Amino acid sequence: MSSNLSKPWQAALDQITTWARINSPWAIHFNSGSCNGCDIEILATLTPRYDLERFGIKLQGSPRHADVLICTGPVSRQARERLIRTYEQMHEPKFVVAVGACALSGGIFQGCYNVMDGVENVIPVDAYIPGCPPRPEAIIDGIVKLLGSLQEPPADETDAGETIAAAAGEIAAAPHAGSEHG
Amino acid sequence: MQPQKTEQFTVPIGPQHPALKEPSSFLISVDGEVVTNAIVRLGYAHRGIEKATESRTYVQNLYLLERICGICSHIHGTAFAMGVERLAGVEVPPRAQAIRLIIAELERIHSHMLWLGVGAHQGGFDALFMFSWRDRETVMDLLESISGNRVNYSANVLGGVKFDLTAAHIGDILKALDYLEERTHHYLKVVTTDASFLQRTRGIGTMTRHQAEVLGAIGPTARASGVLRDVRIEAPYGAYVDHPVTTITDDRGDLEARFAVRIKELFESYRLIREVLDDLPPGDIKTRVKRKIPEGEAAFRVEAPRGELFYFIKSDGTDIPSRVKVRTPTICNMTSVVKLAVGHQLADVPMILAGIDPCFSCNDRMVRVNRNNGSDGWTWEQLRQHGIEYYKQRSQDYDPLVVG
Amino acid sequence: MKFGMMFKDVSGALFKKPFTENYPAEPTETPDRLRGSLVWDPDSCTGCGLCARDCPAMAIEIEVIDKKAKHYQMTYHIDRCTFCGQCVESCNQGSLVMEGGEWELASLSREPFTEVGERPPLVVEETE
Ligand code: SF4
Ligand code: SF4
Ligand code: SF4
Repeated sequence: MSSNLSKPWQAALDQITTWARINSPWAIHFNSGSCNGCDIEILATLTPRYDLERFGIKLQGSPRHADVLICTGPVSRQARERLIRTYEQMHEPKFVVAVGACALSGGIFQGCYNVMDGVENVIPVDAYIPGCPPRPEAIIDGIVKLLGSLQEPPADETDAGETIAAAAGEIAAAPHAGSEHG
Repeated sequence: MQPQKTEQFTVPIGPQHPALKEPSSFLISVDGEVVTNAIVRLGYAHRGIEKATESRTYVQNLYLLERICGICSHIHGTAFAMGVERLAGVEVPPRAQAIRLIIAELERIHSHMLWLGVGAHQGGFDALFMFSWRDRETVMDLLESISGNRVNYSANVLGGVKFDLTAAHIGDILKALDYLEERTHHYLKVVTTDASFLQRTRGIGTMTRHQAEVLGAIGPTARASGVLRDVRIEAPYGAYVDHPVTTITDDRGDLEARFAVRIKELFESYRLIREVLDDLPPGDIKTRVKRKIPEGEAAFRVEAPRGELFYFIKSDGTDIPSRVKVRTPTICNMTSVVKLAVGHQLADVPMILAGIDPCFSCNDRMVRVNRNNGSDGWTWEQLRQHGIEYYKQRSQDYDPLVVG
Repeated sequence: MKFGMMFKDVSGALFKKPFTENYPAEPTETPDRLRGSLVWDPDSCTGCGLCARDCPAMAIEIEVIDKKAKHYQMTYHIDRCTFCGQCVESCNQGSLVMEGGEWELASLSREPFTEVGERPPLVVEETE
């Protein structure tokens, strides 16, 4: 995606969007058939003891507003469609965090007839948090690691860097396109 | 004036919805703001656990079944372990029984406090949500320090428990109970006197005693409608034989009563834990159970935080069960939600749903009736007759059910 | 009937020490019994494979490369482990420990999730 901004402006804009994204990522939680253990622990990270909102993370209801998809569960066949739809509704760049043993590999449910054995078999995953369930601290640790990785743009302009740049371009292009019509 | 012709509108809720932490789908027909019909669609969390038990050993199944539900994990494990122990004919040491009871009651505390928060959150009372979850961390710390994991404690093994309680643990538990008791008094006062919250709970979702019996409600939901139904009293198991519980009931049957009953049950749990800790039997914490379980069938009922949990285990003499059937409390209470929602405002539906303390991961069991080979389902009467005869044949003295 | 029953809690909390842990900045205290990732002691293991057999999540593989030389290889899949502790319970040699193991296991790739340990083969001495 090309934008009409000159290079230095583009670079500055990229920096601002990355900064904004890291400081205030909005998350959506999707339960794909887990045992609830991981979900209560995710909810517990929002409560006073752990307070995930310190990092600017806000749990969002709608996938259209979210940057990070926090997914638990081994993905049951019935939830699979919904997971894909939720994922597709999110805007680029999007990041998926798989929480818990069963989201990583199916864990204890691997081989059950109705599960997909992990989120990765359905949608791409960016960060993995093992545990059954992981402690809230471990979940925070995983999310901090994910945010940390966004901070340093990859040396060779690979996937992540490109998607961020592309999204920045999109944002820059949008008002321009709007004014043409208006 | 002619009554206006109203148009029915169906609101789909879920399966991914901010108000529901678990996947479940509701189709709610509304006439204006008033609910006229509700349909539940289950199965998003169906993983095929019962089938999977048939290809895993008893030891592995203990952990698999524990993960049916992360909130009441210990009680699932206990029900299965006790059923298998009954089949194997082993006597579990009293200390292990006592530790099972303590962990089960701690779990009930954590589950009820969790529910209090979620219920308050659905009613828009986030301050109560945050504070009750803050205090819940006290119980979570206890469970973590006793068992080593915050949620799926895996405390049971076949024939006993894994962990012993040290003097330090007992001290910690007693200290935490004092703190929690004081907080619980405060919460009870809040949910029964706070005017803005009462507007969301008083007189909402009222279920009469008759309805509760007909709809087959169980657990605290039934007790809030005045139906005394508690497995710990009807058929005491494990350490509950020596430490009887007093059940809390309420006659009002509305949401307020459900809040009150669950919070008052917390006091009962505190009392029970203190009582058991007072004379904790000394001795071993586990006995050996052979890998191969003798042939036979066992049914076991326990009282989970949400109501009666039923396990049926059939063994064919190998180290793998030939059938495990689980009936969880939420599925029994689900019908009541569908019935009670009718006639209420749409905004009350999440509260009514939260009122039964639903747990969808428990819920999603499946039964398939194979109609192609002529095995039609039985009518209720046939089933009843079969049940009566079955027990007559085995001259089994079934615990008399206390109904009505 | 009263209003604002939780007001005192909320306003009181303003003047108290924060309840929130400052987690990533300050490490938290963990209980002694906390079950972290599995630590295998190759010296005492007899290669009996009981742990692998009882593991509900198929997270352990024990491979006997050479029985005589007591040469075993153990593969531990952290991404499958449910931290249930049954392997520790099953091992009667005490070769497995979970207490006090690593628990901050989050990672951006799957690579660190498979741990392979190996017990070096004994040099079988010819005694005759
Ligand atoms: S990883 Fe464990 S605790 Fe988490 S959802 Fe799966 S079974 Fe439950
Ligand atoms: S802790 Fe449980 S799941 Fe993990 S390796 Fe041991 S037996 Fe397997
Ligand atoms: S059970 Fe213990 S001794 Fe046997 S293979 Fe496993 S670690 Fe080694």
